Amino acid sequence: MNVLESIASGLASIRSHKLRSSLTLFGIVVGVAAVVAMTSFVGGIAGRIWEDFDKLGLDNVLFVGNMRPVNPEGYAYLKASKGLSFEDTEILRAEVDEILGITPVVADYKVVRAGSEARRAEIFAATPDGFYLLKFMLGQGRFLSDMDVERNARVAVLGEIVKEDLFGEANAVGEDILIGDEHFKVVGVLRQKDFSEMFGASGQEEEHQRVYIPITAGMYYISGTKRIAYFAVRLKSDADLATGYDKIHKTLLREHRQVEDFQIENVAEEILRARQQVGQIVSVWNGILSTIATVSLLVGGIGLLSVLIISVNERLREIGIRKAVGAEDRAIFQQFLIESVTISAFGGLVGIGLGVGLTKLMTFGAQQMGQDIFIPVSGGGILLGLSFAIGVGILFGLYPAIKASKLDPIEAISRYA
Amino acid sequence: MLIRTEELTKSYDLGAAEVRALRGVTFGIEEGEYVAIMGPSGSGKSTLMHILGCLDTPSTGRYFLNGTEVSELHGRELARVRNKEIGFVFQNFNLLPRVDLVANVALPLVYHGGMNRAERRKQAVRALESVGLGHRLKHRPNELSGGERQRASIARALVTEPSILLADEPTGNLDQKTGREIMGILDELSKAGKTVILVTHDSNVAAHARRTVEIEDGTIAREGRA
Repeated sequence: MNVLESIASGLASIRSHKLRSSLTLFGIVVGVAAVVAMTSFVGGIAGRIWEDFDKLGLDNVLFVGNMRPVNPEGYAYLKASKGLSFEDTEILRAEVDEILGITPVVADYKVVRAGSEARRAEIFAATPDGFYLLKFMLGQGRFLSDMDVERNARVAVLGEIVKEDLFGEANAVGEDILIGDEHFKVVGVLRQKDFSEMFGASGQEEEHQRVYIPITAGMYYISGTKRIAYFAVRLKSDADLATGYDKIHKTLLREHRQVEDFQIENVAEEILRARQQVGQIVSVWNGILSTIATVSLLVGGIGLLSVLIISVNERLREIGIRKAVGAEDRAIFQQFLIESVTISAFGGLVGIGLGVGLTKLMTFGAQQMGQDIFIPVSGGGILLGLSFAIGVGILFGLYPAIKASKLDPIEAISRYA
Repeated sequence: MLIRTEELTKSYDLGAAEVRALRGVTFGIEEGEYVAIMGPSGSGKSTLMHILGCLDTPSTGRYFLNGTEVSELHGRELARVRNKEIGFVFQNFNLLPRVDLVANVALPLVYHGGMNRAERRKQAVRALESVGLGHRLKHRPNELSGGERQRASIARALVTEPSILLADEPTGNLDQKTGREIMGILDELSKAGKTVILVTHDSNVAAHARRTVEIEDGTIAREGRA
């Protein structure tokens, strides 16, 4: 009896006992369907939230701001403070390996005009690094360039909300605007990111209420000083968070003659903590999921066990004949175990079909309710479900297979003689 | 000597009583012999047949088959001896009901090893043709007459070309005419040189053999030659 014949025999036994088999397989089908659907659901929702966190652009980001030094020595100490400077960013970039990108920011509020429209907006002067560092997305035109910074160019990129307020639906790229009394040319417009509804308010409006200009133009035409308001820093990975933070702190202290006139806002850690919370929710869901799956698979397994025992008893004569013509115990054991796994794997496949259907139904239902959610079918869930089913087949097929293999051929044949 | 037994005994422990089915059987069978083992039910002849067929092992005593002491063997080795050395023909045919005759006859070859499916089927078809069932290859046992089923069972016993054909009441479930046909096939096989052992209580069947061994109360009561 080779493997293929045993599989065929398992399938034949499903075919010839349709009702019994479907009752048996019910538990396995439900268990596997639950695994597939729930894994897809949890994975899909969690995946979407991870994506949102990633899009947010604040992962691995630190902000370094100016701070009035608090110290008992008072005035003298305050005088020693030189504040954040453009040079600080150069030094940090050179000395701290963990830094992926850094930009100095000069920020100020000005009235911005275009034609007859005007509004107040935050003027955000930075280097080109700032755009990718905070993961901004470009709608039209271009981002700022290094050349713009070198030439103190009077060019601006508009946040999407500012653009709509000043230009409405009309084209903005190439148009002139007035920032305070200074003429600037619009070279690009940002695009707002799509966040899922469950992510809620992302706070990205703030980014789109701004006008972005080169750091140099900001110093010369807007603030009129070389003082920097803050730095935005992106570290290479969240593993670098602690060391990166410490190195930045140490380097700045050294550059500022040990005067702590700055503070580091650890946004990255807040994001990390929020992600961990989502991770905890996911693992709670996974716990519930595996409980449901385990219970229904156990129920299915016990059903399988009883059917297999009945099957062995019905086939005593077959087992006896096989042994009489030379089947070893091992061959009988193998045959019945493979039959068991075939039946349970068949149930697993049906369960996977059902689970995939349920997953599609969840996407469909959510979309009917106006939620823009797509729940992808989890490949891992399918694999998990199938291995569960096969595991149940092996576990609960073991006893009937051993029972069959240990039968005395004389008794097995003469039972029906 | 193809078969040699020395003081075979078999006892069953049934709790309160010990049943002694065989009480010391010593005999031999030469290659090519046609032997009938006779005896009423309860005489121990079935137990002897099971031991000769390697389906059972003796409690004491020795059994040599083809030079091997099979009374020393267990489990796997015994299964291999059954497969290679012995062809069973049962009273109630014992064919698998759910598969066709070719698959039934090929069954011993499945456990023989070293043969693919096509080769097994080819050899099974040849065995079926040799017993005149070439036209029934795709039929299932329940679509056949008793005589045809017993022929299929003989084909299955022959397919591995065993040393011994062991037939247990081969005509017990057949009418007289069909029974004679089946005995005719066994006679032919014997004539062709096969070692055939009949186990029967029917003296008409036993009359086909050239030698009879009568078992009573677990021992050999009489031996005779035709």
